[in-house]
Amino acid sequence: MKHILSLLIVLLVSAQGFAQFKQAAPSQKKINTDNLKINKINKVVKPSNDHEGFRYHESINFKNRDQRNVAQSAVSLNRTNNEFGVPQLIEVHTQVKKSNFARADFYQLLESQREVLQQTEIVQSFRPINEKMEDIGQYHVKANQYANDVRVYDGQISTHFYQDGKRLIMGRVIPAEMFEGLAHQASTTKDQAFETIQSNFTHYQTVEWFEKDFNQWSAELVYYNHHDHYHLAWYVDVYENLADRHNYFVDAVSGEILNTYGTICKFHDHGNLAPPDGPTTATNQDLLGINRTINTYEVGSTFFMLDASRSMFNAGASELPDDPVGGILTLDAKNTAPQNSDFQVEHVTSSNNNWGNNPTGVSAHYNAGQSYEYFRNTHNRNSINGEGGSVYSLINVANENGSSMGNAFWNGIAMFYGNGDSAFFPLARALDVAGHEISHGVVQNTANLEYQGESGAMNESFADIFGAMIDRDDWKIGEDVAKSNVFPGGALRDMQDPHNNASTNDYGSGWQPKHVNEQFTGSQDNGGVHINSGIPNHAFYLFATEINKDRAEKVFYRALDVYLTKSSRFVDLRNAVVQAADDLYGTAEVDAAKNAFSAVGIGEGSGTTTQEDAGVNPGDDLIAFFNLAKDELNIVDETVNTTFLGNPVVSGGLLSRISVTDDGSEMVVIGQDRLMYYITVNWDSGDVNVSVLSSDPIWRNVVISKDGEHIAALFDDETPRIWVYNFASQNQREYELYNPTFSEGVSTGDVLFADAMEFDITGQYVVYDASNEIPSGTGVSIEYWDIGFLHCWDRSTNNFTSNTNNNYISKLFSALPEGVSAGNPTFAKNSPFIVAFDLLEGNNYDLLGANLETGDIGTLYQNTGLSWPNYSRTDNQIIYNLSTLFGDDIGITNVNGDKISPVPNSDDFLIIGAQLGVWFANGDRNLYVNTDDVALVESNISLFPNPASTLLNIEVKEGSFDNYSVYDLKGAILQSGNLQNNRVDISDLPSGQYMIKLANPLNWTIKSFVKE
Amino acid sequence: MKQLNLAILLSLLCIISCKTQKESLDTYEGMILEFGNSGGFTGAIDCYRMMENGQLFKSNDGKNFTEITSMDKKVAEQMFENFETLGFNEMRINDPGNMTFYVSLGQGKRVQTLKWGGTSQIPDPNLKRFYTNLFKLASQAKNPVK
Repeated sequence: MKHILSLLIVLLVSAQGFAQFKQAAPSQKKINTDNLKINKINKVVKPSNDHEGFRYHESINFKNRDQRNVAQSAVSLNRTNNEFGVPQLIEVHTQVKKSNFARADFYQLLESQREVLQQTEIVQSFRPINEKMEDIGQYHVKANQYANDVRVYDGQISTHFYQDGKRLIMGRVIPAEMFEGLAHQASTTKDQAFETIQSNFTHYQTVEWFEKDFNQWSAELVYYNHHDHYHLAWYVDVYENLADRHNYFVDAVSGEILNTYGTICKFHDHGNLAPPDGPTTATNQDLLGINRTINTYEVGSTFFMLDASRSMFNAGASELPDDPVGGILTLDAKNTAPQNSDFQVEHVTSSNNNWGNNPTGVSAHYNAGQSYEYFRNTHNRNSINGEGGSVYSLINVANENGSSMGNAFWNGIAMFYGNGDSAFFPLARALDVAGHEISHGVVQNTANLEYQGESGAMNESFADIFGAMIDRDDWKIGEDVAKSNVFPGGALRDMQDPHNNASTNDYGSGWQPKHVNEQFTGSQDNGGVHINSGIPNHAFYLFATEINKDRAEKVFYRALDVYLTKSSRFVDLRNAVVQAADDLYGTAEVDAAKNAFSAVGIGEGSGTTTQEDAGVNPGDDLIAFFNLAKDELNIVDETVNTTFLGNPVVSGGLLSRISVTDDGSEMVVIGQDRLMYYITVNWDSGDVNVSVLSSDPIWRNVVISKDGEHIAALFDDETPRIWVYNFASQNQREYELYNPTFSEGVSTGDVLFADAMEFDITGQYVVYDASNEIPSGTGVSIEYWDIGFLHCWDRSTNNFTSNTNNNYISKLFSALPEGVSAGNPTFAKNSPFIVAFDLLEGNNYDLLGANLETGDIGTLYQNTGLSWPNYSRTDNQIIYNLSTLFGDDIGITNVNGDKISPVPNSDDFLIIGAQLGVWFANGDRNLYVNTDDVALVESNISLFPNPASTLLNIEVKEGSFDNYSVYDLKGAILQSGNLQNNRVDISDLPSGQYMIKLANPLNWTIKSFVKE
Repeated sequence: MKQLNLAILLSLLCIISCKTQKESLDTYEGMILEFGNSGGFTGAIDCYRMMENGQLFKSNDGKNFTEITSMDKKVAEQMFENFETLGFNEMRINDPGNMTFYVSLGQGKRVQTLKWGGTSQIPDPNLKRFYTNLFKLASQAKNPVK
């Protein structure tokens, strides 16, 4: 549906009017009707004031601006909250750029997020247990949560501080209110607790030789979550004997045992228990038949596939062999699948430290160690998480149905290896597979590239790149595990030649694109993450062969670690690599990076628009929306976090969509009483004030310009007029709406009335949709909706434009195909030449984006009802009404750099039970960028003969066009080329309606014709 | 003999006519339950589509589906019903990971998809069980439909 229509058709014969279209969303099975799932705050609500139909909240307390500056754009990533509504990951961007941090920074960060974390105080609630200041200027603090001076057993966070001002808070925090009223002093002693649990012991045996340095049991008072309620409990950690270790939770008030669990350890009972013997080594063959020396660990007479010999190993914090800190541990999944409930994990053990019967374990263990050393030695990275965290590998992992798994994967914690299938040998066999999987962990702990679309392809690519650098003898990926009967190239992927000796687009045989002109655009594979990785893979190959692998890998690692972010795209990768090359080396490396990316089609300007954009509003991301009953106006931040706001901001029957100035300080809306209301928000004090702008009950819609200088309004009588008012001069002007006529003599009918409106960023144009009527010979008029631009203000004269010369209207489409309507237009926030709008074609509802400069149109989302779209502050996302099987919500989709195409598979729910979202910000910016007029230039051209059978002639009275494209009504390009002698041979086209796009470097237009 | 042949023919016609109408995925307009996984080192895709009448289709590219069997219609209907009774209709999870698992229920373009496997969201245990059960049902059907 890309380029679904470049819409112009001779006859406007629309069987369905947009009025119907606007009400035609299929009936939904509603859930959560009128029940917005947002965290409402109970505020003092002033009863209705003197404005009938409206009540407003006088006492809403916003944070003052100073407070807001501390936590600029606090973002809880992925809107992931725990069951108590506390985000598990919070990203904060501050203006504080420094490289030395201290404990005070930790407390200041948490204090700035205290409300989000749902805490009443910070210092007593979070007590650091580990902190680290790295040479590279990063600071990390891990802390336990406390309440009433008691440790919360399941409450722990890690915080991360970066030189660029970024801060991360990760982990699990329990709201303070969960502990209100709970006992904080035990009624029982820990000895009583131990006595209670002794009844459960079956083989308790005092381990006398550990008495000096080993507590056979210990107890700590904690708050423990049992069946969704917290209990003050004794947490007893007891070794019944060296073979059996258990944790017990005993209610410290009632003495009742709340819970117990053992460990995964499967010690063999040897009767006489022996102390841990420590690290050792063994040499055995791996799956390739090569002798490998691996580090193992002996406990008693049992040897474990545990490597506790690396520099990261922390013996004091480890509980061996189950819970090493800084260890490399290989475990056995016993041919079970992690998705299934019978999933098993056991230690890989040996009674004699001979692993000859387990080459799979030897391979996985050895390769994990090699991968660890690569990141340690080459990138000075201390393990996957950068903090010396343990590395886990699971072997003998099966599919859900129990069959052998021909795959390996990273699940966010560990590497999982299957034993192969018809296409693959056992996956643990290859070093680059281990390198690939461990690199996913590194990506997760650095840029955390989102696993879909281009960012997902980059995630895969980085895994391949480091996998290839760890197993650096060639440029192939998986050559030791891929079977040649399936992969003709002898490998799963090939960075040197991503086509990999397979047929074009035969992804199952290992073919990948090597240039963006081959880029996969489907939705499978999360938008082709394993397919499009071939493009950056090949860029790395070109870069590395130009400057050498040693330098290339360091540059790419720095790009990943320092510059890329979660939603970065290919163009960001290019910029990051170029910057990293400049940081580390010099001109030769920078040029090599540019050349490599250019060679694969990732240009410097890729994904950006060509006309000058306005600067992005620097304020906070905010979204105003209505509930489904349309009697509440709510404002939330982009994470749907309402903790800094009281909602609803305004209550009362609302008729029109809210319209907001660029700085978020002024809003206008029409009430169901048809009065015009004016809402101001003081973002410093948090004061919200509602007043009546026009007490005449005559209005249907109103919008305010971005600078707040003008409003445009529609009368309730559904006449074809737009009324515009200028606050400064207090002058007003009405514009009669009309449809421009064209040289073909095509009637586009009369305008009945306008409906949706929005000012452009300059305040000179209003984009609107309007219902139109074409009289027909049958006496039954035909209605349709389309989109127009009203040029109402001239900034150069600082006055209204003339409303008498009939040249103040231009149309997005000078005519629409039969049965097609367009409406609900909205401008991109920063590109006045980008609009998004609804398109109805039959029963299909598409949300489209159009670039008025290039004429390109893209399908941003295929909806089931009207979208009423609105771009985000930075134009990298778009929100819209979303009808699902189960209700009406506000949805969100990530948008590519062209602003008219979506990031595949990125659509998601944003706000449940909500509608008509308007994304705005509360910062100040210069709105008067040097932008071209937004309206299309109506070219004075005609096509003849029309209908035509062989040659279509184009008459251009002014100017000329260089090339043409012919589209069908679905937007598919059927033929294109240079325009010669102003005629196009259409003899090969089947009979029917078509569109032709005519373009030169400065202008374009689209006309329709009929092939006989 | 002629009478016997006629009776057999009539019986066959009855059996054929009584059998559930076979649907084509291309023209089917009813509800579809889709589930599967994709990703890992290989990027392999393994997914299924189930119709309300029990017809089951499998794909290894997420695009081209081949019918593999017809499950018991009552079992299929139960799985469709479970989607709602287990509350998945109110669930929102879109967290793809290196290995991504998903279940979706939809009709035409109106689809509710639940996707997990990333590190940001923890899927509901019932959702994982539901997914596992679907996979077990699917794996029991190994013979391609002729």
